[in-house]
Amino acid sequence: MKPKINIAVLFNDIFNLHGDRGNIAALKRMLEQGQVCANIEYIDFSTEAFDPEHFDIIYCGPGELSYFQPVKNWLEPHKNALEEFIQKGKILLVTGTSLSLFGGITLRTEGHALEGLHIISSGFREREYVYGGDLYYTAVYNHVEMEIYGSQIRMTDQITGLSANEQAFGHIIYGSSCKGTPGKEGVIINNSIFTNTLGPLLVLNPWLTKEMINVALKNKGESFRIEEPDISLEQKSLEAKKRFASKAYAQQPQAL
Amino acid sequence: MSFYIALWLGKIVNAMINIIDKNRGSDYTGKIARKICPKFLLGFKDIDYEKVLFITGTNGKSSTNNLVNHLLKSGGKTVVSNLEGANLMTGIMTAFIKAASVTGKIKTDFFVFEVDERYLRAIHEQFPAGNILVTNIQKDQVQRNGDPDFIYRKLFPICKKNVRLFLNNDEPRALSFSSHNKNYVTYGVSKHSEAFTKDKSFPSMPCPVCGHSIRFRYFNNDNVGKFQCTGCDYKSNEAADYQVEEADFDEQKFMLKGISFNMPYSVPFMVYNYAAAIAAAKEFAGIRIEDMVSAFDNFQNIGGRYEALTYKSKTIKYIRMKQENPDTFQTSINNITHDTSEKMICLGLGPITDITPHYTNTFYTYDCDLARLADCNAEKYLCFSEPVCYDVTNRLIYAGVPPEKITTIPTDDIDTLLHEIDKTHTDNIYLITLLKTFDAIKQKLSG
Repeated sequence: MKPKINIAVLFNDIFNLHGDRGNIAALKRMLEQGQVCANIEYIDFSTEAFDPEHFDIIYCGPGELSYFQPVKNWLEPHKNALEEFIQKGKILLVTGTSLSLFGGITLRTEGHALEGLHIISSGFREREYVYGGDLYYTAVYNHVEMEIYGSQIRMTDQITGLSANEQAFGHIIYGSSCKGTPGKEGVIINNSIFTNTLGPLLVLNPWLTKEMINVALKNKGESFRIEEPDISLEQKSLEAKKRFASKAYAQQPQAL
Repeated sequence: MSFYIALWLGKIVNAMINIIDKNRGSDYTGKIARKICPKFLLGFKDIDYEKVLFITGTNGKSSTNNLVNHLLKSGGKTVVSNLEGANLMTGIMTAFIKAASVTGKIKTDFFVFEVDERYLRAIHEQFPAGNILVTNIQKDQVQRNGDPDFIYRKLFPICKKNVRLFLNNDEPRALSFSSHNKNYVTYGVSKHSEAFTKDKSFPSMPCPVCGHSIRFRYFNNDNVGKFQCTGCDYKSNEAADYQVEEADFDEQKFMLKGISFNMPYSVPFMVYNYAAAIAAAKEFAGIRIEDMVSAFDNFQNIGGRYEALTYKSKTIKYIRMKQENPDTFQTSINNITHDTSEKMICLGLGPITDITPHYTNTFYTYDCDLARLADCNAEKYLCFSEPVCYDVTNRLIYAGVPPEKITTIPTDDIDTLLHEIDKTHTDNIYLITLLKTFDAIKQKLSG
């Protein structure tokens, strides 16, 4: 019998600003190529019984800050279960603006504060102007060192540092970091990642996808590991974008 | 006094530009005027702001502006406008410099301006239009616009004011301004033959009223169609005040209030522009609907998105794309796939280089349903332009396109591109790429 990985996608309808659905497509493709069943459930306001424990991977993409409050209210009763999920080493992947949803206070430009779930300690301030650009960094996931390349559209800046139980997910080679965490990117707690890298992160970086799946299988007690996927296209993409970043930096270092 | 200096200097510079090249200078003199007199537009007196219409929103501003101008002029009205497409403060200032007398008087029946959505507030502060037409508020140029709510919040302070609104009945964000300002007219389109749906993995949008999810019964254009909120009673009206019905893209006709019109451009995204323009021309300028019919027969859109080139025996059909704009990308893909004949599809999406830092965003393509590309009788797919061609190739593979049918060339070199086109059997070539790449091809082919 094939092993099965259960994936929850939080508020896919409204937290999906930048082609983030590609992440689920990437997980599904790699799982199916690796002879693992992918069970994907979409969690939203109409979901009657959401139990994080049932899932191996939970994904939350970026949303618009103005619509965080009802989602936060809906997730609040599940906060302890989500923290337990993280502590058990399961995988919560949060991208883009949704770091604010899982973080502390976000100061809005209009002057009021948005209270997050406090699952990560970071505080944020909404930007007057949007910042968009590429991010290229090194990260270690499941004891494997890797390069990550993606893009960020920052509506907020992380203005506080990390707490004692948190580590930066990445160390930036190219791209702009937040004021609170210079040179660093995102947060990792056990196997859960909170990153500004948005869009189809797991499509562009299949080496991370593979390790996430291996962690999910290990958490289930499966000795099974997926076969090495063909990632030659993504490797060519990474090399092309590294060249692009190198040229862009040479021409516009002040832009970062 | 600075107003008159700005005006006179602007007129002198305009005259000089006209001698050199009449097609230049769509906002140059406005830049000069603004430096001399930052509140230049406030200097024009005796303006009846009820005769001023601003057209704003993400997609369709230029086409709607062109058509409103055409309908008004065909109806015998005079119009001051920015048809050159310069839709920032300085473009509008330039239009005023051109239209005004040396004493700063402007004789015209109406003012109709396309206005960039990010600058609506600043422009409205100087020139408080009494009418605002909102086409839609969608994902676009995320490097500067972030997300649609960022733009919504820029439009909101103006749209809730004492202005008359023209709102798209089938676009949730635009229509929601009607909850805050009761002086509005709606326009829309009944379900047409090219309407489509998307599966649950595709995003919808949050309800602008309660934040829950919007469900679309169908899409006439991407993210535009009959909708209803899943959390509150917010929904599109069953019919808009100005509702296009029976849009027939084969016969190139549509009906509005029982009157038949010819479609000058028979593509789905233009139909909303038709409805919007008719609503504005009737309500804003008082032109009778039946008198607009003949104007549709000879409307020519300025700077349209489609162009064809002949290359040896092949026809290269170019579709201009707006980068970082999934809705127009989806529309372009739909247009290609509606052609059932054999074809080659060339995609040169390119990195984003409008502002710094330049970056490699192709993620908007994942918001689009490209599955139909896999089954559209394509002989070959070509992905070009370093550094994103591999990502675009991968996107096609995710959509179900067989990898062996895709050629990937990490270059923008025109000779290499044409060489790949040469190798195909079909003469039916579709090209989606940036305007500058297309211009380079055009230049190459013209010798």
